Amino acid sequence: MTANSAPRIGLPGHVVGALIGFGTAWSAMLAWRGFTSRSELYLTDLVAVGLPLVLLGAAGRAARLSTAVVLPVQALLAWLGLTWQLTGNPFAVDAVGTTMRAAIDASREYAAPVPTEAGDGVQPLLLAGGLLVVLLVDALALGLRRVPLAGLPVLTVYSVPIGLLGGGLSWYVFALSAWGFLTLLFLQEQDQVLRWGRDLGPGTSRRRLGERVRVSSAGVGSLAVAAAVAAPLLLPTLDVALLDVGQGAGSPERIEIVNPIADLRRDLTRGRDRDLLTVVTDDPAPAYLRISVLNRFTENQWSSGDRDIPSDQGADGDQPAPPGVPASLPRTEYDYRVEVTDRFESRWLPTQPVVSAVDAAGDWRYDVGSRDFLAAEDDLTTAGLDYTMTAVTLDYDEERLSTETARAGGLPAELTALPAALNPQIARLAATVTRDADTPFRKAQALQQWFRVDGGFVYDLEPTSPDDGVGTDELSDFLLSNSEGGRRGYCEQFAAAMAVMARTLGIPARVAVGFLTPERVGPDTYTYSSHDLHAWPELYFPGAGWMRFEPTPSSRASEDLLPDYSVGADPSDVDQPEVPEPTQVPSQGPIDRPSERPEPTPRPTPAPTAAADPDSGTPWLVVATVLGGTLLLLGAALAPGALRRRARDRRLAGSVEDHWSELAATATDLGLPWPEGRSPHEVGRRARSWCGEPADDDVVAAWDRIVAAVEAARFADPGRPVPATRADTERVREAWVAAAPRRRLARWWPRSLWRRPGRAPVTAPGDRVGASR
Amino acid sequence: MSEAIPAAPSRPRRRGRVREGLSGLTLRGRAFLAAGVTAVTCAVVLGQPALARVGVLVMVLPLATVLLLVRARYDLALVRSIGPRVVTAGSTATITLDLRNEGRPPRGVLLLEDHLPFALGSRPRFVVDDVGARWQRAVSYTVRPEVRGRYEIGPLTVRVGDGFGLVELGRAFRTTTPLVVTPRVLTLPEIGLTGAWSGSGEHRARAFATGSAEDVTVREYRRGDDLRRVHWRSSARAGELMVRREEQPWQALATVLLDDRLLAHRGEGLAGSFETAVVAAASVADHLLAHGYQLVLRTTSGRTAAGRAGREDAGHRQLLLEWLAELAPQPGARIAAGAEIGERPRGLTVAVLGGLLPDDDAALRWWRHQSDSALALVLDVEQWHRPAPGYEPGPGAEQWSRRLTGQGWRAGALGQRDPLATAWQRLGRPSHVVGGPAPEPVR
Repeated sequence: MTANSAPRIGLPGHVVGALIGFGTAWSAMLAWRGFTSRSELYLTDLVAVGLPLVLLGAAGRAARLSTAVVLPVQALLAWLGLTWQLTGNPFAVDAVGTTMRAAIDASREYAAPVPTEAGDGVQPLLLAGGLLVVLLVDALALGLRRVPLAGLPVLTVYSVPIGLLGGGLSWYVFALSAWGFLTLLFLQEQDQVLRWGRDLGPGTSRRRLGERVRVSSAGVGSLAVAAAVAAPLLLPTLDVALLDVGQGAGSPERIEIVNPIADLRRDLTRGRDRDLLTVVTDDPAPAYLRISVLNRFTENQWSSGDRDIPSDQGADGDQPAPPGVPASLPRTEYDYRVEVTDRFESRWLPTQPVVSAVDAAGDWRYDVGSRDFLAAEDDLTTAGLDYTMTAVTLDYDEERLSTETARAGGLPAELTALPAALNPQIARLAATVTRDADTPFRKAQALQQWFRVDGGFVYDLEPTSPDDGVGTDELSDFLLSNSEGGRRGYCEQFAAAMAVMARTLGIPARVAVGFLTPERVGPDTYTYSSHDLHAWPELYFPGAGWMRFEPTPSSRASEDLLPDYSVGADPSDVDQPEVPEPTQVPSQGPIDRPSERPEPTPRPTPAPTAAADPDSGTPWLVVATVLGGTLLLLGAALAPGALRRRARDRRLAGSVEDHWSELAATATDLGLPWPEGRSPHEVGRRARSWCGEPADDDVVAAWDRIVAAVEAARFADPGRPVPATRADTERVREAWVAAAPRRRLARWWPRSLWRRPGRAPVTAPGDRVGASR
Repeated sequence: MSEAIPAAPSRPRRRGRVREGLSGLTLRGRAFLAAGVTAVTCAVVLGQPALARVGVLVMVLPLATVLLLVRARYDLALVRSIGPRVVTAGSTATITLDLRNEGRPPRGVLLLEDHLPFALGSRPRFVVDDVGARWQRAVSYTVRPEVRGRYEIGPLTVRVGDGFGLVELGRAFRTTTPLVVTPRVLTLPEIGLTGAWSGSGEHRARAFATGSAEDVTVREYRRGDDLRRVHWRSSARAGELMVRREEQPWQALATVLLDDRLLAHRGEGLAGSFETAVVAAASVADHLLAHGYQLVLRTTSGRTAAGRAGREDAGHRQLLLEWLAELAPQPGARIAAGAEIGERPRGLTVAVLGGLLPDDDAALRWWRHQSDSALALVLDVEQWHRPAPGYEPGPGAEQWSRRLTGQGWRAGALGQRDPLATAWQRLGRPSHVVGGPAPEPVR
């Protein structure tokens, strides 16, 4: 009956399949590199344990053992291998438990990438996960022959870092695992098809599908992978946070702000990045949410100074006009709604620097001078608080400010006071830096420019001394010494230094503490996290009030955060390209390790914000898109011609029949009515007129020779030699092309690639079926 | 040989073809597409470009495959031939498929499946994956039918699949080719057929003894005939030369009567008593033809196979067998007799009977009366089924054969496991004619 001579796969086939399955799982595991600082460890371990695992599976399947037998053996081997890799002894079960617990602790304690210096880090977890995936892929794809199901563990592996590392997966990791998956799919289908029925191919019993199918499958696969790799560039993302997951309430780690400056440092340098508060606002680019201001500078530190908060200065309701700001200044108001998580406990109420109204539960009171809000009740903190405010963005008259020479007056002396112990070199340095600026405002601009660009400062969270601080001595070190530790610091030091230098120049200055920029999590919704904590100086100018400056280098506070007014008019300053400051990655130990990444993750730029603020777009993306699009268009324009040339070369190298079909294709390209299905003689008669008017006798003779050769090849005795026609073919082809009106179109858009010459109906006997007739 | 029927539907429009391709998505293809759309949507809404990659991958895969497959304009032609076209049950027939591609190469795998009736076994399947532009291949497979009948081979269905199992476009040829499976013919031993001469040892039927044909002893002149044999009187009458036949025309007439009443048989299909009856009838007919009888094949419901023919006529034997191949039991309780029979039976009658009813007595008597000699094989049909409790069988085959013997038949019973040849041999024994036990009364 039906001779189902289904070829058995055999051991080599099983081994190849197992290796591809392993490669797929392994390349998917590349996506987890970001979890650890030494990714090569778990990757090599995975090969060492996983490879014997899948080879065992292949051997078992070749021996026709059921998956129910193979899988437990593999699982046992995986367990032994894991134990051996982790503890050096395959039977040390207890030690594995300890190691795993340590790894889980490490994963809780550190942000990714987890260092491996103090122990294994999270390597055991990664290895165990990888082995599980290898095992699952092997069992599903090859044992149970359910390749689509095997895609699920691979997908899981791939999506874990999306959630935890915040995207940024390499495209080649995806491409590798996608290719592996598709290859598995193809192998399974090939096997299934060859099992399905008797093979009608050339061989009697083959183990592979024909080349045509393989090539077309590879083409489809490549297209899909390429489209998938390119997809993120082409697809718009709306970036809606449907569920605010991952911020489990009741986390023991709380962020307390009692003394802002002391807590700032700790929160920045320790612990993971935790979301602290969420802001819903119509402000297109919310930033610089201020917690408190530090007015008083003593020898040792900046501190809040005194607050005068009588009960009639309650926070609720409309706020008095900000000090020093003329009512005539144009302004924009934005509504803010702030939700503070339970883990952010602050005695200070985070608000925008200038607010016109605040509505917060509890007895919050403001200070007339500093305009920050302090809890008047003893146990009142911001934890769990939900409040609203109306923020005011002032549109400063930069020109007037720049020319204003008047000094500020009427402010508390505290705001310009300098400790006696201040190194006089700081004042001289300030004078030197600002010597080209003639007005106080321009001096401030020059200071900021010096800090950010000219002074050679490096943003670095690593403390220079154990008892860090921003006292006078530390300031001197920070500003003056060019040795190690000099001009290297973090936001607090920059803010403090600039405020101090401004005071030496007679400009009232203070340090504000708050949040830098939020992360956009939805439409008009932003989240500030602990790593967004920041300090910046505020300088007072008559006719403008307190104005924010940003001396911290751009590796922390990027250019687009700078207030417009703070950048000097000097075009070279404005166009200064953003040079990320090289920042040393501190690697002393897990405890001191700041989990703050030096380079903030590029936040997805939402479309509305981009429209409102044209500078905030990422130009490289545009460039890449344009470049890629151009290349794509260019390729699309050139590809048909190139394909046609390849086909021509191939045919010209072939037999007389190939030459004949090349001429037919040329005729199709040129739009000449090649009569398909007619005898060579008939074609020869009709095509003789295509060689140009008047016809070149040589060409016509060549054409006749070709026709004769085709006739000889088709109808003469098989043994008789057929005259060579290559030169004649090329000559005739050129003559046709030269004579045809649409030769240019034929060159760029050869129609023969897509359609056969018009076919006469073939009246061959037989029942027939086709894709289309 | 399958006749050529070019299937030439008009070329469908491109959109229609794409739609057809989409509807050809397999479960896997549909799942991929759905998962891809979902993933891309989620990725766009949630802003996870990495997820979009996965979605685009599984979404593009089936779509690209569909486009690839529907673009390939292959054009397969098929010629199916069967040899031999008529086979005896239990022997093999070879079916050859001549496939030719007259269009462009298809981009996928062609899965060919020839449809066979269940009785012919599982469907032959072929995988064709390297069809070029001028591809031609012949493939053959054999069938070994066990059950007589007329079968339609085909149509051949073609499914075009891809390398990932995402799309499967079904197409079908339309022609089918008949295969006739005739009942098995068993060789029967020589027995004395005509009752009168049964003891003479002469088994050849004699025309003049039993025949009543006209003395048509002339035939047309053929080249090589001796002129001395020209029958001038007939030549004058016919207007052309007629010659006397040298050999004496003898004529032995026989009728095989097959019981095809549904209620006379038990069991179904190959395991039913009707099949045994057909095999017995075919074997008897074959035996009689081989012995020079002119044969009429009748059934009890009144159907007649074909006219008479001589022993040389192999085509007649084949016709009878083909007629038997398609015979099916008929409703109706009576055995046709008397005026229902157009041409009255003469000569020898061999009846293959199933379970008989009391009413059949008269009809059988009539048949015996008409025949010069009558043989009957009575199937013990109760052996072909397992009776339900409380089932009361009628008189058994033995009883009936005794009774028929009493009527003048030479009758014998045929059980399920009895070899036909043995039963036939018993009919030849004279003990059935004389000296048999007295027939018992039949209820």
